[in-house]
Amino acid sequence: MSQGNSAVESESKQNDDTIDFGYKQVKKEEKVELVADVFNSVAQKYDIMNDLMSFGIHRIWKRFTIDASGARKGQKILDLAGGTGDLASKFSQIVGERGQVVLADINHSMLNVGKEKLNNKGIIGNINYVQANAEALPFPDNHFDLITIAFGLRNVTDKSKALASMFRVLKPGGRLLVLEFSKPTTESLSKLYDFYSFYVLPQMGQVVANDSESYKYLAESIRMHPDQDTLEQMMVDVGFEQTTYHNMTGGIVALHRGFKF
Amino acid sequence: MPAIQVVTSAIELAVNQALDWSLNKEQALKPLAGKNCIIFIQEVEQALIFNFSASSIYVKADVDAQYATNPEDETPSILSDDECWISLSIFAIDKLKQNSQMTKLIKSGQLDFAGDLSILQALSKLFDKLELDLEEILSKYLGDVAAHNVNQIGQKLVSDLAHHADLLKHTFADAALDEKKVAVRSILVANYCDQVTELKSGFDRAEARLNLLANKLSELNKATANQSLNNKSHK
Repeated sequence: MSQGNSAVESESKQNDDTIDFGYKQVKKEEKVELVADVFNSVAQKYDIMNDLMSFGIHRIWKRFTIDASGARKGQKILDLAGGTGDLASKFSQIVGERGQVVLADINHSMLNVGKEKLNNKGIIGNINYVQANAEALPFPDNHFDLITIAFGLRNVTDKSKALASMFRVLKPGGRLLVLEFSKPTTESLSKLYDFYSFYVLPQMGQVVANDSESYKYLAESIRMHPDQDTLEQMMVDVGFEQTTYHNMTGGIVALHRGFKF
Repeated sequence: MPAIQVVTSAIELAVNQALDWSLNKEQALKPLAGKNCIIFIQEVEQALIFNFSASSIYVKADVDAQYATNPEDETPSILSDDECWISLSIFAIDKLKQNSQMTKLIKSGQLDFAGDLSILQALSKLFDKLELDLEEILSKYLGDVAAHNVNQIGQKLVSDLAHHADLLKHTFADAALDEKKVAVRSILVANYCDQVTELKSGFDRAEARLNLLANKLSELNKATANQSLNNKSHK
């Protein structure tokens, strides 16, 4: 079954009040807590695990996201599911004193780790921290120039609702960037990637973070996430225009971009 | 993997490391804090955006090619008050250190410029005034004594290498400029070779003649000896 089909299936299952949590089906209201448990468990080791799991390449993916953001001085930027603040720290420097960056995450542990990390780096003044659910963003309409969500959308219970919420708070002319794991573009890479994510990653998680289950969920949630074309269509469906995506590292990760006009 | 992001990442790491090692980091960055400098590299047609803060430099790639041409020619509003755009050859980057030469570079067309000139001047000063004390840097990792020794050895090595390079340069320069003038010209060498060949053939001829004479003398001696033997037998 393709990831696209998985996503369609999971969307239809949402009508039955159940949703995917990795390969499991759980009640919609349970998913938030289950995802929260995963991130509470990995929050302290999140950065080091990211470096280990991706061999540091996640920094290049995030750098590409910032380069594609067109962020400028004085802008208001929302870094959604911002976790440990990798993107927010750079945006804070780019928007300068006149701008504003909001680092939002549904998970309190991740938000705390991010806040502590940025404070220690001396990044203060133009950055605010908000614990928020992406499906119901607590911001006014037409508020942000740019919204980014990096490796967060696949954990959201109702992705379409979250995309619609982002569309609402984005200013006309603003852009949304979704950086997320996606579908490898070649069969051979796909097989290699499957072996790595289902056999190596959980072992790595067990050794470094003493938690193999969370990393098993990571691999499963990636497979259940919509593929490139499906996600692009979901963005179009909620109103985004000029949508494009850019595959990185053979499609293991894709950056989707859409504008609100 | 996006290649340009790997490059910007390496540049950013290098410049920030150099700043961290510098003795006057804060002083050098202060005039540039909060400003942007867009450097368009002509050979690769790629703009790099240098975003300065009071403590570091963030380097971005211009993936949407917003700064691929002179912003003042295209859309004047693209540059804000605290930005400047420079277009230059990759081989002219080191000339950015020469603050006094900026106007000359712009006039000679080696450097195209738009935006706030004071940012360019501050950037030039940043490159020029960065004070790096190698011994101080090494002492953090090796200790004071070892760092001092390594620094002394390094300085001697660099000095010796420079001396040898200088010597080699002078040798080649002498050969090219002075010795060439007094060196034998090719026509003289050709004449000398002809004379040697002629002498050699004359010597060969004389040797052949001597051999011939030696043979005749030997035959004459044999004939004389036979004659005297015959005379003795008749007696």
